[in-house]
Amino acid sequence: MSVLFTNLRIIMGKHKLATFLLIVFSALCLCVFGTLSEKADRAHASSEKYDETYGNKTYYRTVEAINDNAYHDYCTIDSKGLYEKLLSFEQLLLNSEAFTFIDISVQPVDINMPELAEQFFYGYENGRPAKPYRVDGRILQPIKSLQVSKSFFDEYDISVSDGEGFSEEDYFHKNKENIPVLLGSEYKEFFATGDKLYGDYLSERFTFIVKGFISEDAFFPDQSTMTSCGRYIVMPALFFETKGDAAKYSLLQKLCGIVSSSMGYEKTKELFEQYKLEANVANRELYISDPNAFADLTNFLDQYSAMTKEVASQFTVMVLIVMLFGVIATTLTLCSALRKNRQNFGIEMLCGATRVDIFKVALLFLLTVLLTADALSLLFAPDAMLSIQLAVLCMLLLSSIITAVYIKNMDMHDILGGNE
Amino acid sequence: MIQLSDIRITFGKENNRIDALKNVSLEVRQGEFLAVMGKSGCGKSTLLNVIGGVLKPTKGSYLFEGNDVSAFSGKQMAEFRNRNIGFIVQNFALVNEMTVRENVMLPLAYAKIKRSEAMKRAEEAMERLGIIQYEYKFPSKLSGGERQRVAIARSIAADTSVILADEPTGSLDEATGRSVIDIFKELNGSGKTIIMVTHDRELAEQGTRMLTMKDGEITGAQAL
Ligand SMILES: Nc1ncnc2c1ncn2[C@@H]1O[C@H](COP(=O)(O)OP(=O)(O)OP(=O)(O)O)[C@@H](O)[C@H]1O
Ligand SMILES: [Mg+2]
Repeated sequence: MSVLFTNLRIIMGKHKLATFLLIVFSALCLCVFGTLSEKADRAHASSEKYDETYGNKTYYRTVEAINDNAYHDYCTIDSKGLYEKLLSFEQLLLNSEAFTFIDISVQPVDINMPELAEQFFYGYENGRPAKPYRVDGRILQPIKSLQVSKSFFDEYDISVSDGEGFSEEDYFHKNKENIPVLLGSEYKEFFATGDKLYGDYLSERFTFIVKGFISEDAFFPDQSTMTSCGRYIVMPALFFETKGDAAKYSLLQKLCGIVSSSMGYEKTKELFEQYKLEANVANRELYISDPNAFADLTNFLDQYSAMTKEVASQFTVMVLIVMLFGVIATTLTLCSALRKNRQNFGIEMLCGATRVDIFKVALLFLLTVLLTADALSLLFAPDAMLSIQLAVLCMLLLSSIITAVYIKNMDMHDILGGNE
Repeated sequence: MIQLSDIRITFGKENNRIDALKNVSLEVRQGEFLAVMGKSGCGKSTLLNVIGGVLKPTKGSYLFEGNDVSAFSGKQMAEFRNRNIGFIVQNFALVNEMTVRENVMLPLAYAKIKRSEAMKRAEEAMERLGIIQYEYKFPSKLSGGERQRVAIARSIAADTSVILADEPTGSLDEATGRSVIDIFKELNGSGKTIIMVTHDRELAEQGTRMLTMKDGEITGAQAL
């Protein structure tokens, strides 16, 4: 036992600098390993999440293109009671068991806060951020907003990271002046849960109350790309209690949504037409788009999937390379130290040591170096604790196997006849 | 005690094969002081390596007190060396990073002997060889003769029945060399079997029997 530690002391004492550098390098490797493997995990998780979320579903956009005359009537006296019919049509879509209907409208809200950071302005990504305008002595700035149904959160697996999500009630607007909103993650540095924003939505005055924040990894399909929710104000696609202007506008907007279905286009369309018939709007200009018209999005989703998978596997490769570096550095240092100590080992073998005894010294060296590096790396990357432990174990295993082979083949017969 | 029959040791492969020992047969009885002489490269050290359980013969059998050493596993060989063989070599074979005391205790540590017992034996051995005052010094601080005595103390502490000495006086001046041989003679008198390789005929004649080797073979034996 004590010979073991004496030998460790001798080896480390002779290679103080190398041992120190090795510990630092291993700790560095472990830190990088930890950070990378966390990233790899996340990439894997998001590629899995992608598969789960989008799987073999197909998305169809629904479009409203009601002709001008009918629209004018609808907006004024609504002599045909179209509002009620459309309302029942919307209910049929939302309650369908055969497919999921998701409301996503991108109607901006106008907030009385022109000093807001520009990236939140409506049109910012297109290079034409909306200008603030003046009304009733207030300055209003149109900013990006999403109006979404409850199904939006389930379909795109979007969670709330702070505060709480919308309750059932939040989707019903009972003549209140308040609209609950969830803010994208980029708003976090400017607002907190419970804050109030004042402004107009569909030309009516509202107070928007921040209920919480959307988590960072949230995306929704916008035109032909997946867009981050980070810069959006997300509000419920409201059901208005009274048939006012806002109620009418928003209803038409809500009908432009997305149908997520795995039945294929023909069947989905058939069902869509059937709902129209049931709601007595069969003759109205309401359409469900051909999947080809939506091919861009499908393509994009495929690309997105391939991309996340590729990133995930690249991370895995990098993680393995970093670990391999650690193993190589460790075994090179150790084997060269062992080689330099060969004379002593030879003497000890004359005194009855076996190669296993020498291996024990090497193992003790490995344990000392790797566990110290382990402790160090945990100081700097405490989040990656589990994967670092795993890496330490792998490095220990690999290094000790290589070292064992090295010791097995080390020539130690020449001490007796040795001509030092 | 030691019975070598038809031992062959071959080094290297294919083209650069060397037979360091060819058909060596030798019997050594307990209590002998055997001196081995011969030209450089004739296989003397190789012979000691075989007897000491460091090298396994390529061919032939080696019986030590009736046990077939040539069939031992690596672990058994180590145990065999630890129990039975003390090595004394020209360059002393001491671990320079260990104190005299630690060096003397080295075989005892591998024999897994209790520390208190090991310390007692080491102290006795150092006392006997007059090096107890150096016990906490490192070998590099000692003279050649003193270092050789540390190596001898090591084998005495381990209480091996055989001492293999490969040119033990090679690095020492004449007077010191002679004193080392005197220690050997004394140890031999107390029953230890000693096999010593030397170039010095005068020293060889201090033994009880002299062997001469040439080209990996024993060419002569002479009782003294
Ligand atoms: N490990 C080895 N590998 C290859 N050849 C070896 C090895 N050890 C010894 N030899 C060869 O075996 C032969 C005998 O060597 P050995 O060391 O036994 O000679 P020696 O009689 O002790 O010589 P010296 O008096 O110079 O010590 C030599 O030719 C040597 O080159
Ligand atoms: Mg020799």
